[in-house]
Amino acid sequence: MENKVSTSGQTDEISCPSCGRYIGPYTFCPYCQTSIDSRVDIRVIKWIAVSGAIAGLFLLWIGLKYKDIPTIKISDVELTFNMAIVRLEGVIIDISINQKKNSIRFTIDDGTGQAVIYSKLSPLESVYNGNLPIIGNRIAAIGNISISEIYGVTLFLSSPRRFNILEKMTIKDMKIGDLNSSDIGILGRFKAKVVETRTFSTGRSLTLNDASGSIELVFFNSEIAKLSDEKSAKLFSKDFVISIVSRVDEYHGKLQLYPVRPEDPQFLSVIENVEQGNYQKGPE
Amino acid sequence: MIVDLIILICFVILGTLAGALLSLIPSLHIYNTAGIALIIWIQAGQFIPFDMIAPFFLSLLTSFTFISAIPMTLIGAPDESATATILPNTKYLMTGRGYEAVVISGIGSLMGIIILAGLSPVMFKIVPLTHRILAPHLHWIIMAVIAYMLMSEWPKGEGIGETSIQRLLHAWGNLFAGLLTFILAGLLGLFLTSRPLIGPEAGFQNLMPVFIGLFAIPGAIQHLLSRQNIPNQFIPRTVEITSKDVAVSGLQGTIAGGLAAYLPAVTAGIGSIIAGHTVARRGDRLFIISGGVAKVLYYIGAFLLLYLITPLTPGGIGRGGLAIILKPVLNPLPRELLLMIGIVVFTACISFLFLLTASRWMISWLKRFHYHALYWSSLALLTVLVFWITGWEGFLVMLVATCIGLIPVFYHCRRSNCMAVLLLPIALNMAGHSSSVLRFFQLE
Repeated sequence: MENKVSTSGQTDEISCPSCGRYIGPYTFCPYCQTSIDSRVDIRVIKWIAVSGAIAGLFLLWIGLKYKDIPTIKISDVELTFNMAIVRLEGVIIDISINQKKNSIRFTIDDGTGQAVIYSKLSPLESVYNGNLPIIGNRIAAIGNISISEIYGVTLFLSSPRRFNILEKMTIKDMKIGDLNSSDIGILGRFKAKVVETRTFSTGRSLTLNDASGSIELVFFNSEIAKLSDEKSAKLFSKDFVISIVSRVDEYHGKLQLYPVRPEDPQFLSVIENVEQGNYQKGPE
Repeated sequence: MIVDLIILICFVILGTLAGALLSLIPSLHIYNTAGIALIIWIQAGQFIPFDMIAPFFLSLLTSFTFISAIPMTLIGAPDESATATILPNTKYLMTGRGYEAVVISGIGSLMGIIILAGLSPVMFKIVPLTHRILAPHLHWIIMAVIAYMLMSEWPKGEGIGETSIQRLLHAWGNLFAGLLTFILAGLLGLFLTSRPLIGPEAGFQNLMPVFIGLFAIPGAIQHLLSRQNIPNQFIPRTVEITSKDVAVSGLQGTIAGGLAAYLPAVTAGIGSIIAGHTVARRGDRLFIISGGVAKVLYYIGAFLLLYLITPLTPGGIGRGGLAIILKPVLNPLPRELLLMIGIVVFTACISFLFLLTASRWMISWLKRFHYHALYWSSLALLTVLVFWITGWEGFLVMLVATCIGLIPVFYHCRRSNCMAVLLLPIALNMAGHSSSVLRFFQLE
């Protein structure tokens, strides 16, 4: 040890390194009880702490900058994924806006499952200049996964710029008869005649018929509630021809259609004057 | 009905015992193990009733709020170099009154339980209404907490030295260290909450390496560097507290715990700084008792906010680590709040009795074994835990966080500055500026 002179004029060799008092030949300080042998120079630890923190943080930043955020399938999400930062891709099948809470929720389907993407509305609107993504768009979003017993899988968007439209959906006209199980999850516009209506505990179902075949279209009460009285009355009367954007799904091994934004005239319209001959007659 | 009650009591006792044993390990936080316990629980789901999750984990947490006073007070004797950061509990320990400090802390926690149980009917009315008013303003409230936290240290040093530079450095050294810690921890939080280094399958514990690095390991290193021995401890039959102490510390603890329970990322430590200034009282006893009260309100009160399901707060108010951990499996119902309060009171009473026995046992154990052995074991356990759950990526994050966490330990500024790891990202996110900051760092 270097024989430095302390501020009190005593040399370090006879002063306590902890309290600085004169201790002479003692191996323990009689004032503060500290041991004189086997001491660690705290300056070394201090140096390691500060330089390690700055250098480590810098390296971490570089590493993170070039690290890709993993894209996962919704069906792969397990309990341990809660709070993870991930990227999800999928087709928007529903949008819900709450102006009061300034929030927007996109329900997406990636073919393996469904998840909700939650974001503040105004930042997203400013990024998209008011032209928000619509149902049918294929999007990718990065955020924090939240798994909840009540709400299921939700992705909280951390930044509006982390929400990208991968493919703008042009909704194609489809024939009922052309549908098969590989179409599950896709959206299409169907023009068909309502040949039968049925009421069940949570909604109503319509049997649609076009020249190629027939299929069931299911409306839940929550969706019916959004329709105008006039539209609702026509829709649930037989023999009206409708043009509807629907999502193809399966229930008990049978293909079904689910309406998409039925309250929007661009997604559901009731056509009254169509030539009867274009459509198969439904069961009387 | 009786069978259900017996099963419930069994799980509550099991949770209490598990919490007590885990809380005795120095530097190990209950949240580090609760997440893992939940995964084990889910794996064994078919053998364990699912509706016992909340009672088990709540008793685990309640037990922690009591028993954690033992390692905090009794295990470790700080070196003189850490004089500035010695807490009142440690002062008690160094004067042979460690047991008394533990008991006083336990009394504080019991008081916290009484306050919590007493306030719960009022909570249903007041908290949702307060939340409705405050929720849109939380970003600037958190910013104000940050400003307060930093300014309350301004400047602490006395300015001693032979040259003007030395005097300047002495006077402002702590302050700079505090600011540096805050900035580095804040940046670490911003980076890690924007891009993950740890794989998504370990997402539920993505902040575990950060907290172990910022708080647990620096604390353990501090104790391991100390060559000081724990002095003989006296086991008294009475403790030195007055009714005035209890009243003032009850108020102080309630303010601290209430703030910490409600405000995101504000811990009991930060809440205590604000509460201490609010009641303008100082003293070691006040500090220890109010710390006990604050711990209860911060940990348990925050979790119970989940059960405040009212028309104003239809989803409850999820706060605190346990609420986040249990969210994927918990479906809280408002009618269960009373049951939860009952569990908390029951567990608290058992925990207090266990605290008295366990602290005496720990004192006698520390006569035979050096506390360094416990810290070395704890360090090894924490490192293995981080490696096992989060892999080498988590281990690297832990190393960086450890370096940041060592700054307040060795430069004698507040360790609560490390909480910037959550405070800064949350405040920026709530204010809607996180996107711009991340763009600046090219991490968006």
